[in-house]
Amino acid sequence: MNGSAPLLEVRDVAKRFGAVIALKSATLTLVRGEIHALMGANGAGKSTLVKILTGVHPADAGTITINGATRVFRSPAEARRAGIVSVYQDPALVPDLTIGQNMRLADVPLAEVRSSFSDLGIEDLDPNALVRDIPYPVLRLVDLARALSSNPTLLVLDEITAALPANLAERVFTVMRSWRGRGNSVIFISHRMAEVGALCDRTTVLRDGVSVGVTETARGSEERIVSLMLGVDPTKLSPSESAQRHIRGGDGSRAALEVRDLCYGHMLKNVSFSLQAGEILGVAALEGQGQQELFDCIAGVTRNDGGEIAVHGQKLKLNHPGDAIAAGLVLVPANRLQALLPQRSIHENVALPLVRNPSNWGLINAGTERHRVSNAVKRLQIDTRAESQLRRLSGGNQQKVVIARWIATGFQTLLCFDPTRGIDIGTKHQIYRLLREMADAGSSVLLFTSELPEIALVCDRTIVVFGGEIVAEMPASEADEETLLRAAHGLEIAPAMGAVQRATVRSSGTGAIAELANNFSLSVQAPNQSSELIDKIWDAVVRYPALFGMPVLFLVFMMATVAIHPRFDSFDAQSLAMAALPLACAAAAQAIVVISGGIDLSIGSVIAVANVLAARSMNEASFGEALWLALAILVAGAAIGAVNGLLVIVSRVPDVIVTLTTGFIWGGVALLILEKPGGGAPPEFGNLGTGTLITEWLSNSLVVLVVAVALVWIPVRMSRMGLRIYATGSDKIAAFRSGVNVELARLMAYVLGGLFSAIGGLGLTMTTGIGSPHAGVLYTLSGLAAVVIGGVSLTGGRGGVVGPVIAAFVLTLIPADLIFLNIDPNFGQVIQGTLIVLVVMAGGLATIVRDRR
Amino acid sequence: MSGSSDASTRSRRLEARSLLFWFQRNTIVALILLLLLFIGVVEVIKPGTVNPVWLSNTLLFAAPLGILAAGQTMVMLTGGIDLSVVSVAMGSAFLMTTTALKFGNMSAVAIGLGLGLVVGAINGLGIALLGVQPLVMTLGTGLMTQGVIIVYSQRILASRSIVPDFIRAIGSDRLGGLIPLDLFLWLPIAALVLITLQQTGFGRLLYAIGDNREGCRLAGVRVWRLLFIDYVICALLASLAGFVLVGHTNSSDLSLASTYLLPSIAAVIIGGTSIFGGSGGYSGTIIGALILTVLDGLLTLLDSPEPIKQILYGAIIFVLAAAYSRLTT
Repeated sequence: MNGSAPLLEVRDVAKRFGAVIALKSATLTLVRGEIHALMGANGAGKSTLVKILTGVHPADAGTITINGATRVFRSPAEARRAGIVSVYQDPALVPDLTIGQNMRLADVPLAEVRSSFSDLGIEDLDPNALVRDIPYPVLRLVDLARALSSNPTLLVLDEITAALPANLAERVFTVMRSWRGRGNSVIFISHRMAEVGALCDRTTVLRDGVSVGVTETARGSEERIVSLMLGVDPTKLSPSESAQRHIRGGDGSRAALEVRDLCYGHMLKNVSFSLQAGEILGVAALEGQGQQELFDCIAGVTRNDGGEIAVHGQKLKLNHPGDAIAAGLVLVPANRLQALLPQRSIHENVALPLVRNPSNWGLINAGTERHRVSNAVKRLQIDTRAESQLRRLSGGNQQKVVIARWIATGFQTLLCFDPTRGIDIGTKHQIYRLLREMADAGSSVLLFTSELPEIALVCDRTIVVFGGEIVAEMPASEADEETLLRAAHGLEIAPAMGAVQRATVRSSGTGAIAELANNFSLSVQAPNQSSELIDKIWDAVVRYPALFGMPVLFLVFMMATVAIHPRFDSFDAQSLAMAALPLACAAAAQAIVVISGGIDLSIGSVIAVANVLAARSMNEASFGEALWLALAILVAGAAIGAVNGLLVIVSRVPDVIVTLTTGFIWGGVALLILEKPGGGAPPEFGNLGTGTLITEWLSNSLVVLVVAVALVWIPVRMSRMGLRIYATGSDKIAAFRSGVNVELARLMAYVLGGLFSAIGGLGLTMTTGIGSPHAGVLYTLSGLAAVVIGGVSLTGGRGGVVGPVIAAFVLTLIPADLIFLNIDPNFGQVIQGTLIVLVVMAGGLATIVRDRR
Repeated sequence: MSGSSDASTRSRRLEARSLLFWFQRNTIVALILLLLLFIGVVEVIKPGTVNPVWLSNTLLFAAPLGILAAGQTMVMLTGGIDLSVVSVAMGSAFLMTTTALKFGNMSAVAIGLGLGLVVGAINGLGIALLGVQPLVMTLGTGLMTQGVIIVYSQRILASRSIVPDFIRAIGSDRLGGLIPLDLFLWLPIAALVLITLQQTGFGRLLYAIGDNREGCRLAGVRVWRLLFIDYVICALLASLAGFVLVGHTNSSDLSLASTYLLPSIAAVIIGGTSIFGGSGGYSGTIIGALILTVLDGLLTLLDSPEPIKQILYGAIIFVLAAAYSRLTT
């Protein structure tokens, strides 16, 4: 360690969230050039401390001193400016952008990051790869590299090695050591004792929100750390309550729940255990060791890959949580909000499973239901004062509602996943007492808790899961906290990094990425080329229909057109371009807004406004004047777009509703300007739409369209603003955390939408020579149709303008072709609608297929 | 610590806040007050307008909107939307009037309802089973249906279409000169929808799905079944609304229904149902439909030109929606 003046001093920091005390008194001292480990059980307060350090939350009490100066950070940006950067477990990377684009978004030069990439062993990472295609461990390294490039003096790493195989973890250590060598410091949060021992200079241990000690980390310090993590908690359940429990013996060999060789991906490997009636079986594990997947498989939430689950000897086929519930297996998830209905009442929440089957969809027997619900509520002593809306209840009461639900429904085995996380002591006691009562009455309980000391007090037996396997099993009498802690850290059984490493298959591909792909069964670089090629093509087609589908579709239609109408001449080509221009502009406008994550149902009306404005003002004007007026109308279009956008952002009313109503308003404005079709424009102006350039085949309308897209969209797309618009649509939160002003991005999208709508309206004036206030009606929905068919995802962040524009041409061709075929052109609407329906259903199907895989 | 003036300010603020809370919990009352307000404005602008005949007219015009918005309510409660309702309404009505001569009144009604069934099933297939976004799916099916009907309408220009007597009666007649007959269709529908939403497991689950779809799955609910049925019901209600409309105008003019799309959604929003689903209900929608009908009449009364009417209509609905989102968040 170089230098002795403390870089960071945290003194007695406290923080509470409502009733939950996250930190009571946290103290931490860090000198320059130090790697300092922060350890503690789940809920000890590590994440909270980190968030306070990096400016996400303000502390309630205590001081933070950096280089001798007391600081308070109000935002991550402030903390970053002071040199503190954190790498969270959730990478702030936008999924639909490439690595390179994400770096640009966050103002990080790619060259700087690439050197970090090679330090971290992922130099074979393609910066043009989409984030969503990259395995999660690599993303964490990318996040780390990005953090490093801002040259922090203090780097905070939260469980950075949790998902990394040994070789990549080793690279991270090398980078950390060199970082330390430059006089910077690192706070390293980890559960892995061996890593901490090998890497860190000192360790601070947090327990229940209090720093309980600091230790020099050297060989053999594990014991000291473990003993620091233990400790006497005076608020623990008193020993007398943990009196020997008599397990009501199961009826012979038919266990209430038996799990055999359960496998799930790389998270669960041949897990086997059994649970008797009347027994409480505890599951002890650190974060992310496979316990979540275990519970999910038993509860029917996900389907296991291998192995079997049996209840009373009956093998179960669990395709849906309903199947598990029918077999008596009910789940109390850790995140209670996952299971609860926030806007509904306690009663409805508790009664939810009672109506799950079609036989109960009829009239509810209010009396019976009320009886069952109130029984359950009373038994759990739920505070019903905030009866009407569940979200107003405290965390503890909410958790009780979840349990009450199953009491009211009836069950055999209760699967409790960390039921007391973030809950006050009093409620915790109640819940544990209730679990014991239920077991005494014959039910079985599978209980995962991150509070290791409480396992021995509630459970009869316990198993320890590490790396997706059961590494220990013991009766309650042997399950003291120290034993559990050691086993949970893989200390007694396997080396700390062992489990994931053992699963590493020597791969045939080169580089770390390929190895990770093998480990995590991802198809980033497929080792087997031949059959995978078809898959890759199919993947690309599905993901970029605009790239593959649109030009193909257009060609098909063109060929069909020429086949139908062999005398397709330049005049027809001109007509096509003129007819398609307004729709193409509407499609472009809608595409931009949709890409930003919104929707605009007023586009048609804005086209109409631009159209009638032009027709009315240009009526007696000269060509020169008309051009100036056109410019003014373009500005007006952008302004209208801005109004739409501002209303959406400020009013917080969903954009569907806002633009639906403003569509009405702009439509009325159009009517105000011009009551009936009329007006006019100077012939030269009209020629801008109806004339041709160079050849008879190239209509001016087409030129206008291409110029508009080239001059407006392409520069935006290439610019940082374009990137921000895509990022906002793809993942608003990741974009925000990368420093994007998401409101501004959305506003820009609406402004561009208004601009293109105005171009469309002007185009109409050019091609028709008049203005019509009702002109826009069709364009809103048809434009949306073109966007959908053109391969732009309505969820935002993906696609472009070109696809929808081509789709607009296809949609225009359809009625033309029908006329050629002497078929009623109104069939065009049918075809249009059917196309949309088919395209979106195919998209839905593709998503299902992809998720299944 | 605090002086008496502080205390009185605090108690006044507390009163105001509790009034707000009360309104939040009893939005129906706020809505009824709003309705009365609009009626009051009508009376003020042109004294003597509000009389039993006017009320009867209002109810007559509100009924088809109310029936249309019933289906829309049920769908929006799950967080969805149905943009195909007007096409279905128009299509069903048209089918009914053009097959009545050939197949008889009752069969014609069945055929009309059949269209609703088919379109609703297609919507359900896409939305419930394939997970397509309701906005886009119903947009597509709406266009499809409209196109099919237009084509069909041109084919049978030759043959005659008639509006069966009982349909015309429901659409236009009044009992005792005052009570519109279409109320006798609307009221039972309203009762059924209200009971379904408030007293049945099905209704409960619609709310639950809108509130937390994943939570429903965890509780063992097979969500797709409910959504499928929901969209079919919505389409069937749209068919019924179409019948009433046709009875209104006594012709099978196809364009009338399209002006009902925005109002059908607006009535639901104004009535307090969140567009994200999970809360609200049909009772609010009923008042919302009445408000919109009165508003429409009010704007006509103002004799303002069509454009102003349109602008005001859009603006007022926007303001109501914005006020609502402020009130309920």
